[in-house]
Amino acid sequence: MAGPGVKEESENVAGPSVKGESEAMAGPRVKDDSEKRYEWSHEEWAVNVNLKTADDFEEWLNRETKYYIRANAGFYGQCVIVCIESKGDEFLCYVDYYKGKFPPWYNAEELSKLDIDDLRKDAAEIKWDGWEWTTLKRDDFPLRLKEVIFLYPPQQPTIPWLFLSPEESGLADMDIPE
Amino acid sequence: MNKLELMPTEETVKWAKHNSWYVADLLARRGTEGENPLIPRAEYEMLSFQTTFLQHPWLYLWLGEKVGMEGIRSICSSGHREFGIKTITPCNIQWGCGIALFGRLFLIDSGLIGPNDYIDNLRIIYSFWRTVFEGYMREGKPAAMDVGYALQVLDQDVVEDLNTQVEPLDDPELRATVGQFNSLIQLMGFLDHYDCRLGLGDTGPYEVDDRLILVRDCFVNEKSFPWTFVVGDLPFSYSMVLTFDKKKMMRDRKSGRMKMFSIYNTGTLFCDPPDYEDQALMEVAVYMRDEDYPNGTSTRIPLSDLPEHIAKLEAAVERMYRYLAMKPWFDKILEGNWVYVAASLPYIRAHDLEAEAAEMGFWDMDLRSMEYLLKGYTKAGEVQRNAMAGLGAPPPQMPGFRGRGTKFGKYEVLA
Repeated sequence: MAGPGVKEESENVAGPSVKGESEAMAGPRVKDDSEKRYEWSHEEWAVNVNLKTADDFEEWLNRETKYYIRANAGFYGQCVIVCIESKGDEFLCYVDYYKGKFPPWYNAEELSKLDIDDLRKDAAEIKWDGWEWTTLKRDDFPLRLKEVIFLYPPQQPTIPWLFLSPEESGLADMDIPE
Repeated sequence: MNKLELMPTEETVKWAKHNSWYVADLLARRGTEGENPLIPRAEYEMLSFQTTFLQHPWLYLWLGEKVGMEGIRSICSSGHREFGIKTITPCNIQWGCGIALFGRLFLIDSGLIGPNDYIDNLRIIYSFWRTVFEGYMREGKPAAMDVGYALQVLDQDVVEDLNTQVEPLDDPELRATVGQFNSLIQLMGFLDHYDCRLGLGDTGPYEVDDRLILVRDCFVNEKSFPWTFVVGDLPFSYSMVLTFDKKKMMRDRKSGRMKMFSIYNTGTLFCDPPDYEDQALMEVAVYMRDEDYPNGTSTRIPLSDLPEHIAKLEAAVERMYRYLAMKPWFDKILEGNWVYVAASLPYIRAHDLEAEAAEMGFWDMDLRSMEYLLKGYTKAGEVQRNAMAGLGAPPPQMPGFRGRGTKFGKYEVLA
């Protein structure tokens, strides 16, 4: 279901499944083009899962969603729009999640210590507060997550060994002669 | 009829988010760099961002009528075959539109407009930007981030030919001379463009056999700027072709000794460790060009001739510093504004329309820009920090979405 490119490969991430801490209704399903809400989105999922708390949702995102923008100052989750049903209302909202410091206001010392290859193994966190790209709220829970919309295609590194971690690119297993 | 085809308003959400990601990442890296106290950068950025946001949408529509969608896509075709010209450098290609997008961010973060104001400007800018980028990088992607920060623009046969012209840097004295020249052309490119990256840019890394290659262009004398008389004895641009030891880089990436070697959309190389460029550098070729595309030609400079160019550059840098030191502060805000307006020059130069655009008001200022500058002037530093960290790329409010409150309640979420 995922296109080629950069995917999160930490061990706690699996493909779309029906398992979850909250009550599972049905597994995520990739919509075909005729069903998509937006012609211009990269990929859309029909989900239908009940989530009791904000923590459950964060866990679900980490487990089910796969696309991250790998930048040099952090990883940004690409699932930005979700459709939810909460308290008798159905609406679209934004949700932004990331790995690393966000906003990425690092000082020079912090930047020098930042290791993106290590950071990729961390779990992502939703940026909940004071943020225009997260309009879902903690007190929307419990809710039913109905749709997930990935705005943007995965990265496709031109020189994978230079960009990705040596484990991801296969460089770790290569012999490079002098 | 030729025209710029506009994306649906809702699609601007996709591009605003994309914009937010890579701007945040760029600023995280750039934030550790110093500032030139002679240049009122935050203030001139505030003015020029607004100027271009308010004025350049008409330019992009006009260009669409002149050359059509294919014409817009072909803006960078010269940059696939030539270097030392502005249509190759990502900063110039990206930020002609990107600067205008910042204008929206500044206006919103200053509380002067809401996220749904000037929405057509936003659609036009993103539509033009997306179309230009379809014809820029080899992969047709809109940001270096999308391809792992390797920004390949020149055709492969051009790069392979350049690789045959480089000279080795085994002699420590020659290596030091090249290092001095490299530093000076970057400094002069910065100064000529009011301390911003429109004056220089790298593309690459390109791969040729056991080398990675960067092409570095520094625009040391932009002849459209009135201060060209200060640096008038310099060529339009100097360029360097730099080759790097690919196997060493692979070994260093594998061992963790080198963590990053990334070209951003500003054409800026960021390395970890920061001095890695010099550690892996093997050979160099140097060129100069007398005028920007579609005029001018590139001439190779033998490395043995670099000392005379270094002397000219040192003298020009000194004159430019003196010019900046004597210039009144507010005048420099205006001059910086024109540098950023000129970020859209490559779009019109590519089709030889610079004179016609100037006649139609390319260099004139919409007075709303000045009005907004005066209203937001005292907030420039604070707004810049927020907006440029990706905090100021709010999506427009759309039907079906949870609203974000009133026109000015940009971070507020209503139940």
